[in-house]
Amino acid sequence: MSTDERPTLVVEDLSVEILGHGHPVTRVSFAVDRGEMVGIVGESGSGKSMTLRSMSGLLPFGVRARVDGSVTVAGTEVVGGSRERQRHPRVGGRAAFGYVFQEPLAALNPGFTIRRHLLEAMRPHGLLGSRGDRHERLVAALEEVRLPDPERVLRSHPHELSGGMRQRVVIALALLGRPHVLLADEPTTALDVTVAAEVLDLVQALQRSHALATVLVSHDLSLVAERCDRVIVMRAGEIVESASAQDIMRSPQHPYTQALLAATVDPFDPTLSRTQPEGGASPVLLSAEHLSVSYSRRRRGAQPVKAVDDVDVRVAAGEVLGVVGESGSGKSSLAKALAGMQSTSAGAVRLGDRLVTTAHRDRSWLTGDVQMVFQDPYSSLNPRMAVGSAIQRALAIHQPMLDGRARSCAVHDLLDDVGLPRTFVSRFPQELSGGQRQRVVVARALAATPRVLLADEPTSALDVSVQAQILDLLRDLVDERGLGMLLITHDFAAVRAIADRVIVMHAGRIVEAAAVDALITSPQHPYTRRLLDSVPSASRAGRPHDQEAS
Amino acid sequence: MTPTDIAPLVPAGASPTGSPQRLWRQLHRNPKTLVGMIILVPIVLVAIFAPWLTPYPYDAIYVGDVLGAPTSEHWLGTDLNGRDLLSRLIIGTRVVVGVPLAVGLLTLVIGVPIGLLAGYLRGVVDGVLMRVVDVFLSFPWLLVALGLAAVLGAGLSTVIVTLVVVYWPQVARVTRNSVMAVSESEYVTAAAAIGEPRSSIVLRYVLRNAYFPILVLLSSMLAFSILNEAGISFLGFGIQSPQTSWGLELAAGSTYLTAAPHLVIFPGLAIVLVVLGMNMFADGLGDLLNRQGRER
Repeated sequence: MSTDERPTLVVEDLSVEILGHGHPVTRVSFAVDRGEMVGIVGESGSGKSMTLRSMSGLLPFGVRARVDGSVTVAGTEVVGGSRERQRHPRVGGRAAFGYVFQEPLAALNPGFTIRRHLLEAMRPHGLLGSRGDRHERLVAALEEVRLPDPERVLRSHPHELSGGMRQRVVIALALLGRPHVLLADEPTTALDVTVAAEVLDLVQALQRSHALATVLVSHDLSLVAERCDRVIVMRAGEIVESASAQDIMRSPQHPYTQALLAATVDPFDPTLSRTQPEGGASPVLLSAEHLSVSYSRRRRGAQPVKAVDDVDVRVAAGEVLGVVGESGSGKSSLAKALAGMQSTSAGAVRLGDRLVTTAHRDRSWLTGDVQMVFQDPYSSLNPRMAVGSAIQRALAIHQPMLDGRARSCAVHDLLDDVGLPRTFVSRFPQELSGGQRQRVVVARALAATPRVLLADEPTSALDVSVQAQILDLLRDLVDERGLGMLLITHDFAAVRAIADRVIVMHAGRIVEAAAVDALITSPQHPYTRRLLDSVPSASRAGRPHDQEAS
Repeated sequence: MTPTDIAPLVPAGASPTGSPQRLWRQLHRNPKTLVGMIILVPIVLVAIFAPWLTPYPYDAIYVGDVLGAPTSEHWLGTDLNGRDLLSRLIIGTRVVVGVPLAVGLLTLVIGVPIGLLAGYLRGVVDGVLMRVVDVFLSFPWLLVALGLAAVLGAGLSTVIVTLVVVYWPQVARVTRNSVMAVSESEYVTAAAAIGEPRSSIVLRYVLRNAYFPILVLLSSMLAFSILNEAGISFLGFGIQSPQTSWGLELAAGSTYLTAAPHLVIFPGLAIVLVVLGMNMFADGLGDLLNRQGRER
């Protein structure tokens, strides 16, 4: 137990005012004791990251902000004082905070070796010490975060490490000052699901062994509920609900929490089973046999990398086929090859009965039959083209017989179809929210009158509540128009929500293909099982994760 | 509460970064571009109406007033030949405005297509075009002026050709880099996916998003071209008397620095003022670009 009466971290009435831009954080109060992990959940713009950053003096540069309220770490006030003191608040000879960032590649300097990163981080804490045992201490710091072969890691630059290893390095850096409080801001969002589970296991283990007070910020309610003791739900800069993980999941009080929970799909929820019309009568729209895609390496004589290796795919009308895999599994290469945007090295692609495969980047055979919905709606729309013209361009190309009037009618119809108001024709992408943009992307794809939609991570850049809406929209379109759809994702929840069948890809090959229910309830392949075990699940909330492996 | 409420909404009525109205408003609000425009707009107006504004004909000689100091008759004094300096400076604004205009236009016409080709097609095309650019970039402007003056003879056309030769490679290089960056964007891939033809991708998607750095380069380039024109005329390769430009006046006056300092001071001040205006404008435009980059 702490000798102090008060918990290690006490935040009282913390407010942040960005001068001239309102209050991203308003009167936030919570407390975290040592050895406890508290999760903060919220969507983008909810102020969750801003809360963390203002506590630790890490507000973005060039932002003129005023931070009010009180943050005490082990009884010492850390808000206020000089900017320099705020950036390295120290309490009782230890750092007040250790900070784990979302994107480890961005948090590390690409020009520094890991060794140099560690040394740089030791300096402000006065931990450089004598040269004699410095190397041993660096190795120990890396061993603490369970990095294999620390000697090699020390000599490496960030780009030579995998995402999970990088995040371990960032955690090691955060722990160097022996912090009282560990602040983790979406620490696993940039990582693959199996790696994310490992990193979270590590954070939990460290939190226990070092008796850290930990704050875990995430957009993912299931993840937070599974890992944390208590959950704080934030919206528009305020705390709307704060309760234990079980209570939040079982009996959410605030309507916003309820809405968030309703939007969160638990892939293991048995009530989600799809009753699919198993007729087998629907025609196959798009199929690929023995499809391979390989990238030649720059270095002469090197073996080309096989991104997709001998893959068979079939999509029928009215069917959503989920393609699940981690980064590097070849799922995006498969999508590009099917969309004709990537040359294939072997195999055949058929569109209906027509053999269309080409070994080069020639898209003339497509005639709009295969359209894509991209991952990031913030970058897949031309910022200088209004919504209406973006859709009109696609109409002009694929339905050239329409005259001006018919074309603007068609634009209105498409906006109706994707659930956007008609007034949006004159809006520009930067005026729209992520979900609205993604609807525009869908409308643009539909304007080409496709038979098959390829959706490449269509929801991973969106907020949870919006994800569900976009998935529902895609499913409705498939059902109403008899389209075929390939849903490429790393997210089992998305697949569970709308897919009929799933294929699991690993290292360019299909390791398992089954109906969604069968795959999730009784996975056959060990890799599928490992993937599913790593998925954060609300139904496992409160249970310690390390017992889950058995 | 519907879940749509959760989506962050951009304030209604915000017009996009791309629209001309928005650009115009931004130019007004930024203090640097505002000051730049306050200096430059009158100068352009003076250039347009120059013949009606001059108190005396620019080449009329007043024999009694050689090297005369400013008086109530000749506000800025008279030059070596007894010509009214104010009238000569007013006529000189036509060069100050005309040279950058011609140079800007020609460099755009040559530089942008070459940069666009190199940046969009990449590979061999990029390699060849950029080596040509490198060769041109290695010419010092003075040497080019000297060589061209020997071929074409001194005059206004020499000034313009020199500056175009010196500046088009910069435009080409900046265009190419900007186009390369924009070509990586997903909306260019998306345009290909909906089946946009190449020409349309290049014009509607790439160039429309790549032009801003070119605009900024152009505005600072124009300031330099005013200085360069003055320099070339100062050295005697440019505008010839009795035609006039600010640089030429400065050169003529420099011989009589002690006897008639006003002959150097006023043209010098005029040059400083217009270059200051140009630079302020360019600087402000650069700020706007950076902010735009962050908003995206």
